[in-house]
Amino acid sequence: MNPAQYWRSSKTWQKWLGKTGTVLSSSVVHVASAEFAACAPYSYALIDFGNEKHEFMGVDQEILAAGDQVQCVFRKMETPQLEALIPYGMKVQKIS
Amino acid sequence: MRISRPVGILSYGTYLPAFVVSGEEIERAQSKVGENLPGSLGVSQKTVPNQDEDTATFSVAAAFQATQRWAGSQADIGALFIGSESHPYAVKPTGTMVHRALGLSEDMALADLQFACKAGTQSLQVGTAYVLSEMAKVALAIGADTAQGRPGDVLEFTAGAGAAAYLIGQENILVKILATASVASDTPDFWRRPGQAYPEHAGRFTGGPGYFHHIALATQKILAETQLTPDQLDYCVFHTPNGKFPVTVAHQLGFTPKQLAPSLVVKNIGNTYAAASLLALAAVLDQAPAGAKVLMTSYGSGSGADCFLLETTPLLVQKRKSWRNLVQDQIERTNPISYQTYRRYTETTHQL
Amino acid sequence: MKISILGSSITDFGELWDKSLEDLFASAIDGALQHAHLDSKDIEAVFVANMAAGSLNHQRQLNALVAQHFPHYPPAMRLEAACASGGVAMLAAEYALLAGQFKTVLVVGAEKMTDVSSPELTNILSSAAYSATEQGSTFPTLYALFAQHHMHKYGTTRRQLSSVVVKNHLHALDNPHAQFHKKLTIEQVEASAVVATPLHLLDCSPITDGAAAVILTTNAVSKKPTILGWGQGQDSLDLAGRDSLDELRATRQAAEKAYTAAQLSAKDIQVAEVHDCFTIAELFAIEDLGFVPKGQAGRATENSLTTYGGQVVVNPSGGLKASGHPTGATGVKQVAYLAQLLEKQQYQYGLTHNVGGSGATAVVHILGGTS
Repeated sequence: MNPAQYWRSSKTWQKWLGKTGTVLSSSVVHVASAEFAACAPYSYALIDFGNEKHEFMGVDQEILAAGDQVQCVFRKMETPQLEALIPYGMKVQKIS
Repeated sequence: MRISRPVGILSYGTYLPAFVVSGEEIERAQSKVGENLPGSLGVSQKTVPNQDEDTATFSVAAAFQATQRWAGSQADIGALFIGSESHPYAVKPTGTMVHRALGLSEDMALADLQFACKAGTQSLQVGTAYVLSEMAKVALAIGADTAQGRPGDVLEFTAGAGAAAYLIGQENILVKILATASVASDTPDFWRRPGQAYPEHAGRFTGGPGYFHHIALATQKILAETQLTPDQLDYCVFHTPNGKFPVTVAHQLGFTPKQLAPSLVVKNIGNTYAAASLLALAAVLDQAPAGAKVLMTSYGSGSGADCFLLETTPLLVQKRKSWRNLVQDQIERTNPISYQTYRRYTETTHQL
Repeated sequence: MKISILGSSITDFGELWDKSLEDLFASAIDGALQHAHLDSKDIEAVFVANMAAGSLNHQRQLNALVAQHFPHYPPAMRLEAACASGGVAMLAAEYALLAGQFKTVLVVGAEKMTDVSSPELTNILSSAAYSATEQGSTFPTLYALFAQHHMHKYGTTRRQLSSVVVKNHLHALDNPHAQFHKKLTIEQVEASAVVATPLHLLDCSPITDGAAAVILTTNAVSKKPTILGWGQGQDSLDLAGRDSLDELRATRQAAEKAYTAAQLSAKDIQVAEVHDCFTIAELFAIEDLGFVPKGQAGRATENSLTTYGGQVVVNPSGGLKASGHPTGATGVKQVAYLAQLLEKQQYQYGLTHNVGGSGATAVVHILGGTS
């Protein structure tokens, strides 16, 4: 992710931080794109937030299933390259 | 220095990651079973960050909890200081990510601090100064760390991870800041050069000339300035490099085990470095009654110490009734992982 | 105005190391011209389908790349809609013919996918998703979300998904150009590595090089298959924007428009090439195209309704799974394959179904036989 893309997408963090929703469908990704390979296996889910739907990765190591209540949290999206901007973003975590 | 004008903690939040690795796991990995290091260190397990967590994600989580518990306006936050030994960038403050994630105002004084384990409390003090000087209406101070322990080293038993965030201001104060003082010197007990994955420490030298000297210095300064004796206080909080040093220094300075006990979360989370004293304080504030006087002294290797005299208000007790995820709740929901898993997560979090 | 398919050609599909992208285009074009008994100069315009040559092969301006294969450089344009590139290229050609701009045109789709590494390819393909909001997804992941939902809501089973693979691999034995000529069992499908739960490696169409071309004309010809109708459906780029995970609405809309134009209905279709990029996609397809009621696709496939002797022969070529899926070529290959079956008078009404990405775009064509 280049600096301009990071900067534009970071403007959405505040909108999602702390928002809660219900998982509509979720899959555990075992074969991921190169930049997410270190996170695998991770959950990827379609979430219903009431007034809108959005897709998010689940936090590392957590398995999500349809019906789970989740909350948006601030995490690293992928393992950063040593010299690159750290790709932060939103993921979802089960609410216990 | 005694503070004559009203200033205090308006809200606070904490964050602990969900994984812990036990002292037994580390003992086995280090082939030190039978030496009872966890016992002698007073730390039975320590928190471990997930692969997708770091000091910035911790800081956001703790700060978010603080702002969620607060009825004030985020637009009034005009200063943001974060202390850590594991800032994700050498150049680009962790505060900038927190700023963006919370959507704070662009009118902001912001910087990262480093002073080993006292960087968090130093941030608290700087925030207090900004508020008192009216350079900011509200300040946000955070201590956060993903502490690093070299495999095989004794620090591996205690180097934990966590964050605590405090909002400081003058209106609707939950905990008054009555006095604060700091001491500093050049005492080379613990350091890390850039590019090094793990810190160096000077063994037993970190005790006497380091920890004990500076904590005593700062604490005695505050007690003298406020003309208080330990028996007139309700709680004490001392930095927790392990579960034993705070017990020893509390005794040396004339405090009782009862005054210290609620702050000893170190037993279950390890030394969270720049977050340690602030997390210990949060554990005390999570259960203290109104009108309780709390003395907190943190210690940062290199060396220095910050001391605060605080007093809880009825507003704290009232607000706390609706709070969730207190420090103890977060400790209770942690899950144990194996040593191998701990090592794998740590390698990913600590890319250098 | 009647549109006839004068000629068609499909190259071998597979890992074709000695064929460049240009070689693939040339091969399909020459084959179609030969089949149609036409000279290059007879082609008045060319419509090129390709998804990702800019990233895969560092080659853009494909319209010019293809036009220069003809001595007279006919006007050419390239169409892209991810895996539905072929379908939309067909539509562009049809619109131009109906507008009277041209009388005889060629549509060619090609993709050269195997030169880049697998991680690089996954990354390139993932750009067909919504990059702003679907970070962390891969195509198998997005279809896996559909699969989880379909299994949960309609009781579709793992075995029913596997039966799609078994059927299509059996069908491919009759397709000389297919990437795989290998029977597979349910057990083999389920023993393959998990890609994104519940989809395994063998639930996924492969990476393929290949090309296909068709020549369309509005001139009066006889004994050639015709295009009876078409339709395009459009929906949100990302899954979050869809009304529900129950269906691919774009498919249903495209099919409705095509059936109306052709004055036919689902029960008239005897043979169909549908977009089985993943096994679950074929199950959605046969429901959304109206062949079986919603939720029944798994059962229908398991009970052999979609193979020879059943209700409709689905994916006689082996589909994307067994015949291969060069993404830009598939939409054209589907038309070419059915045209060839219809020309041999094996069927009277056929349907092709081509989808882009996770279902944002769908194109359906209905073809009529020669009798």
